[in-house]
Amino acid sequence: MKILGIETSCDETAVAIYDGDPATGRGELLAEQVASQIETHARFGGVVPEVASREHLVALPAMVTSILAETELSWNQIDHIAVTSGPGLMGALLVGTSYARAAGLVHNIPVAPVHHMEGHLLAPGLAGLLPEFPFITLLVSGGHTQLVRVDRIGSYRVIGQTLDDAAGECFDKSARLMGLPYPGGPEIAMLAKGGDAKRFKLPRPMLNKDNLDFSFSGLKTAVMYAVKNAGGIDAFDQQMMKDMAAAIEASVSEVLVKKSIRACIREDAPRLVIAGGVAANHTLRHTLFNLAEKKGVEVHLPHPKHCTDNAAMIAYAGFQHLCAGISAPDEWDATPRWPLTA
Amino acid sequence: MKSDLHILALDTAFGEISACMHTADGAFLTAATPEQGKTRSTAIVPLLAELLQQAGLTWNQLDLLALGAGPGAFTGLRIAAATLAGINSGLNLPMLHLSSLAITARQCDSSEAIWVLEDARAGEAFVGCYQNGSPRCADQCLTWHEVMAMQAGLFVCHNDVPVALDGWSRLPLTVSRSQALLTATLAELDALASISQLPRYPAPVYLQRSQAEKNLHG
Repeated sequence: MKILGIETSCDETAVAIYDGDPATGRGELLAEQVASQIETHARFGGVVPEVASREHLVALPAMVTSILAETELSWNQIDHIAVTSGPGLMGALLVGTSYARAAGLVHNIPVAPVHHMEGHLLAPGLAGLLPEFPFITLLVSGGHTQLVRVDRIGSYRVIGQTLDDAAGECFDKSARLMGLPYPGGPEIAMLAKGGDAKRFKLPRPMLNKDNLDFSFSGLKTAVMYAVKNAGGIDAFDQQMMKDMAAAIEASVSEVLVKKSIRACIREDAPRLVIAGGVAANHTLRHTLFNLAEKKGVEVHLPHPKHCTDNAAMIAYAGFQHLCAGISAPDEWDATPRWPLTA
Repeated sequence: MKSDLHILALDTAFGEISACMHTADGAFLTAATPEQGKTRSTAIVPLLAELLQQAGLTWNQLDLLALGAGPGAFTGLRIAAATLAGINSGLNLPMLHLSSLAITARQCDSSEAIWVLEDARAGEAFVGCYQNGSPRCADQCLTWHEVMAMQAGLFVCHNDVPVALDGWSRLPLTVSRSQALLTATLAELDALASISQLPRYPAPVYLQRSQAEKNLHG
């Protein structure tokens, strides 16, 4: 069963073709393409929804043609289309969903709407099999920081989430305070490699609270004061920049990892998936493996390229829906705000 | 005769869905009114399917797609453009791009020079001038203050104008947009030497920058 995945929820236009066997629930990714708009949006210091939508419209049709050529497949060999229908930027989502609906109509191919975050939380399955149910997923990206309990495909329960900024947002805002360009997460990660995380003391927000929620806005404020107390960013030499970046990474990573492990223990689900753009962070992965091993928690991480937005995870989520007998609703539309558990 | 073609035309630049088909034997079919309560993005594909069925055609029998390419409301433009791109996936048909302002001008039954003044929000207007379907100047995006400074004339538009246009006379839109879409399509085709050079992918004409671009570039 060949599934064309389409993703246009934010600033990456992505297409992929996944070939799965419903009898085994396994398959392989035949091809994928991602066109990033990061350079376009960098000059604005963040994603501009209208610009993103225009770029998707230019990129998507040619990318679909290109991936069919790359896999030497024709439309009549595509069995399903899975398209991100939310959450995301409305205009951007409409490009993908309108294209998918029309292509499905012309080629008589069923189209399934997929929740973007469900794509992320199932992404480890692209490398083989999904973890045994139930498992816990930490969804951590520029817009989300959530702990989700997964009991089966389609059955998700949010057991913890950020009360203010997402972890990725904290990286971006801290990077801006340090005078680094957008997007801040990769810039901080690059700088942190040669940094001493102990030089600047930053808080571990909500780590001592007996719950599974997060809060990162205070950390950003702490970064602002730490920079100010050290004489302002203009007084920072290269080593201080690296040390500050390492301190930010260490703080965010420790909170994310400790709360995720706590969630696994509390929910009696000792299998942890970390997904979303921030999951590609090296320090986070390293911290996670160290603590998880000590606590007896199995860790499942998607390939770094499947941590950021991509269409392979959308095609795979569509495939898993079919395997689980979940059919697309009769009526669906692009949904910019769509809770995972609704 | 280029009008001996099976043509599907679509425009959603100013709110409503306008879709029509012209068949090689000269038949003209318009899409039904969308079901109440449905959004454009969900209504558009069933309408096009019904239109094709009415014409007794299959997708593979189409020869040409025509798109109301803007300027107009951004969301409307992208729904129509992405939908036609999806329809054209695998069909690889030539795609005729029509000015959405030219379509509006054809909704007015007049042989005079007509200004099309469509509200673009943010204090701006999409402005075009047409006479008997032909452009008198290029479509542009102006501030309403710039429009007010122009020499008054006859104008048409879909929504209420947000400023007082002294001396201007608004004419009614008496022709359906679907009919105007078809007329504009056939007229453009007649002016073309060949359809083979037309693009295969949609390229909407926005004319107006996003607020972030305005902030950046001043």
